[in-house]
Amino acid sequence: MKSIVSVQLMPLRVENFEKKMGSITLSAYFTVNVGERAVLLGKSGSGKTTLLRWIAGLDQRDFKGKVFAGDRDLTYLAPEFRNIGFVFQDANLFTSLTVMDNVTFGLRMRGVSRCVREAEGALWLEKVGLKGQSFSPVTQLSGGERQRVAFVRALIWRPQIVLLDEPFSALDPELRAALRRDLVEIHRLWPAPMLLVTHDEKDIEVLATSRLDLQWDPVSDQRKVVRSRARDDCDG
Amino acid sequence: MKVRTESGAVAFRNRDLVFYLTMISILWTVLFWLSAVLVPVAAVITQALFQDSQGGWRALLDPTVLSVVRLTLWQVFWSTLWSGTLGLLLGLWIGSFLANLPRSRAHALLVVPFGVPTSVVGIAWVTWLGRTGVFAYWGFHSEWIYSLKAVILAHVFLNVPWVAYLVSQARKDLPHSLLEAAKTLGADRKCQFRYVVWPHVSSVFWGACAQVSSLCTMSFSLVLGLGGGPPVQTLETEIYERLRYGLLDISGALACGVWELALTLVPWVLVLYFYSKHKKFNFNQPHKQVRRLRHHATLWGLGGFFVIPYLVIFNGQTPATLLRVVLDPDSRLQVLMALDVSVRLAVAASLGCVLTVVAALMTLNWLKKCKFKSLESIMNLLLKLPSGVSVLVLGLGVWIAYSRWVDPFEGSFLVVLGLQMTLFFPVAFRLLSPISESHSTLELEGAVLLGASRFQAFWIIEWPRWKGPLFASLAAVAGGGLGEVGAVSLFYSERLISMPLLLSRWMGQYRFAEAQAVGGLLLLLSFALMLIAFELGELGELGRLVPRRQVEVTL
Amino acid sequence: MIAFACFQLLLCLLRGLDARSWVGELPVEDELVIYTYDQFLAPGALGREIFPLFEKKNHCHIRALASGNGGQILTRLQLDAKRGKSVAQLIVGIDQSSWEIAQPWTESWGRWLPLGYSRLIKEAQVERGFLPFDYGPLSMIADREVLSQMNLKTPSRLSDLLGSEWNRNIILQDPRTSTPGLSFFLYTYFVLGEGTWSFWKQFRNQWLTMAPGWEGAYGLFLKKEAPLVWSYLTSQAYHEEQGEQWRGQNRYQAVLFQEGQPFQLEGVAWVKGAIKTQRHRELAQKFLEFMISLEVQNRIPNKMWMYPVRKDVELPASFRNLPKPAKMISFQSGLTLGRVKRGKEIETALSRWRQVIGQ
Repeated sequence: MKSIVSVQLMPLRVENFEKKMGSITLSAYFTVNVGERAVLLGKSGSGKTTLLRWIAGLDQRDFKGKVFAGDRDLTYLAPEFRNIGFVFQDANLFTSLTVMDNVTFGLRMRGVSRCVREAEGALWLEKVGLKGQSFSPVTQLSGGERQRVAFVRALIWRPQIVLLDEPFSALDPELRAALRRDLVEIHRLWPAPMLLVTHDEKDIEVLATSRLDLQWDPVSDQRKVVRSRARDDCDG
Repeated sequence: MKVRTESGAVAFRNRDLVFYLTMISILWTVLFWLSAVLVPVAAVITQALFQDSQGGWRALLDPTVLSVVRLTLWQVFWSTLWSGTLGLLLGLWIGSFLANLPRSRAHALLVVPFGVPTSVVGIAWVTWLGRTGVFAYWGFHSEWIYSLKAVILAHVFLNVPWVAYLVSQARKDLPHSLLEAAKTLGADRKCQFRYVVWPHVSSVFWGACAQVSSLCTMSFSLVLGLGGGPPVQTLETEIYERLRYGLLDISGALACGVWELALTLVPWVLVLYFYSKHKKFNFNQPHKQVRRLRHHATLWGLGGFFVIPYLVIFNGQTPATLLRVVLDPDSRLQVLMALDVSVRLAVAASLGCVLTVVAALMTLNWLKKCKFKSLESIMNLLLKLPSGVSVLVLGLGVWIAYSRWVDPFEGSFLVVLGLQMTLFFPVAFRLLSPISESHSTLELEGAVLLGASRFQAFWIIEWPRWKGPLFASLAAVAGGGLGEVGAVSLFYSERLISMPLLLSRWMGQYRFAEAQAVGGLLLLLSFALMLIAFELGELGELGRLVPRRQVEVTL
Repeated sequence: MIAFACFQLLLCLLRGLDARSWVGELPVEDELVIYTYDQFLAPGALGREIFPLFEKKNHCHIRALASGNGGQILTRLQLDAKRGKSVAQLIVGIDQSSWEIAQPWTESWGRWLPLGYSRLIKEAQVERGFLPFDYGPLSMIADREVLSQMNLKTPSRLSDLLGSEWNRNIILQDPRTSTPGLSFFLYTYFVLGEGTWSFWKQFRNQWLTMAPGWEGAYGLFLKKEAPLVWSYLTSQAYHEEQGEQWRGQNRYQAVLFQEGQPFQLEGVAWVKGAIKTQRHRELAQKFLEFMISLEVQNRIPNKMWMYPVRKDVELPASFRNLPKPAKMISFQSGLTLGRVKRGKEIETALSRWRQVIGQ
């Protein structure tokens, strides 16, 4: 696929992350490579979303550690300068914009002209079967369709890293299965390092190329994000 | 068998009751709208354009009238521009941290100025800006008093907190995650505002601006008290002068009335039309509520800034003056009579207004049930119409249309009541219509299936939703009615003098101290009522053009 | 309990809807209905004192309806005429200019003349239809204290008022809504002739405020908002009686112009078509005579703070100390048109004035 925004893909590296959560401390040290889909599994309230939001730069208070895209230190950058695509638990679509405008929002922010971004948008929407609804308001979409739009919106502008925060949790099981396949498809279009947090084991089975777990370390009273290799095959 | 028959009979009677209530509501709504809105407005327009012997529509282009129109527009333009701009900035700022706060009482301070009686506003600004006022005492001499600047300043000060309140409520409702989504997609502050915040608050903002511009066009006692007389004349003061003073000039008043109708209705119609095409969505997302002292303090400070100027009406002598008023039999009698009129008016107007709104909502529901969709939307629009009609123009219409029965100089409680009900109808309508539109049929059916009677079901499920907004509307209308001057000025008599009128009368008799003390009493009463309204109701609804529940997205 | 409270509330509300607020009562034989201005009926004012006297003397009842200020009486009169329903038989307290405008709705007494008419000053014997009961020259009143604070000297002619030192330093009344205001306008119209319009064009920036009524304007003056106000010459007497002094002199001083002073006649008139029975006519005639009787006239200086129209009334010292105007200007002699036309001329002049100051 022809690239519109020239970005070189780099692995995501989190170093010495630490965050106090009540009496315990959450810590992490891991890397997600290009083309890899790392899935972080944990119960709700365990701090997975907190970690994701810190990586994206959405929450910066009382944290220690560093985040890198390749050699580029992202730790002190504002979210809009990090080049990180983020898919929220609820799709978080802009209700005042159409499907096409939502999908191409990232490109618009990067100064891509309307005709180029709409052509690109049409291509991606076709892939997820939403081409017919390009110019309808997002409020007319079903839950699954909204999430597909959110996936495309997060990836179309070629971010260096993609983060997904429990993207299937609000959907029913059949829809989840279909969307997981869609996500793999979309990721093939742009194989940036992807980190997905979930509490659903099924996500790991279908999506993960590698797995991160939250482990309890009784010695230091810490909950650590630990990498446990699940599958070796990488897409891309 | 017997039981079944009985319950069947009860159900039948209930159905009957609902049917009769609905029919009465429809009849009342239609009658009210026809007699209190359509007939007076139509009388003004038809008399001015077609039936007047002294020139008809040519009076509209009379140079004197046109110069007044120009000045009115100029005044409204600047008042709205400043109020809108400052209110928007302030509202966005407050709204951005409001989401973090639990419901703060300090927020009420932004609502309170909206209920300050205009006569008190006038006295307060004269006390601040006058030649012998507080500013002059402190050494700041300005020549703003008794000029257009003073009028605009008073309008801006009165309206900024209101615009800020409405915008901040809308901004508060914007989910933070949408802004975060925009940030992750690379949007800077400007783009976040343009693509996320602005589409969310714009409907409320334009609505607020339309409201402000209408209110500034309709402003009457402030222009009279602070404008310094001619050449600062607006359509309202012109109508008043042509009707109640000296040379009775009904055809001139009618021409001004038609102009004023155009100026007040056009913004409303434009905004309503624009937003009927452009539906907005609301999000009901729980916010994290963190008590932040800094935010609380800011809110208190800001609210205080817009309220404190009016408190200048109280001074060290106020208690002694009040005592003097109470002890002097004549003053006491005058105050008691005025208080009696004001309270009766406020109570009757609030009850009448809320009952009429309930009737109107029942009518709308019935239209919806019968699937008369277009009729329903026309009715909805028509019911909002009074917010764009000045009370003086309505009064002029009543004067002309019902001249056979109503003598303005004899005074008429009923006419003043009707005018105030019409004036405040949109306020109660906006507060109550969201509740009516989100009525919980499923829950009601559930309760009935569990054996509750219709009344019990209503009492347990519907009433808790209704009571807050209902009492809030009662308080808001009563608060507004207490300080209302327009309707009373047109149809007062010796027996029908309300508190604001007594205030201006005493000002005229150089009883400044007494007038200030009475003004203080009035101010406290309306503050209290506005606070009650704030506590009980979602006053942010007053700024919405499309009711909150009309379109809802569940996230 | 709740039901009782509701009932009370309902009763309370219904009290406001009593029949009297719908239609005015019809005149009865022994009742004289009078339109007057609010101040005439204020506590301690002349009306409250003299009406009972008249009632007692003539075995009748007076229903006085306060109708705002002088201008509003005029509106009420016109409105009644328009509706074809006359409520009042008499109007008390309109001045001569308002009366010119009110001509179409007032009635002449014909040949009859009230007892004591010959004892009135010459200026008060205007026309058969308008009986003045008091008069007073109008003038600027200056606050000496404020004048000295601002280093200002009192003006001595109309054109002095155009000086930059008087910019926003004068308080006036709106000529369309107030009788003294109208008198000031007509005074300039009479003295300056065609120069009126250029005068007002320049004069536009000189007033601090043009209040709708005299009370409001004078109130602001007393609050020291400006050093000069258009009022009555006799205001000086009022303040003298109140003992208001500044550095051993009267604090409030009347300012006379070389051009002379206009004067206001305040009087009584009959409402056209309202006096239908002989008894009413008799009472109306008695009332006119009563207003110029010594009983009322002696009360005028201290109650109305105006000069009585009768020559034979002893004036208080404060009145005797008042300065004498260079000339008393009567608009009636200035406007040489016919009676009805004079009213029309005032209206036309006012509308031109509105255009001049609105520009």
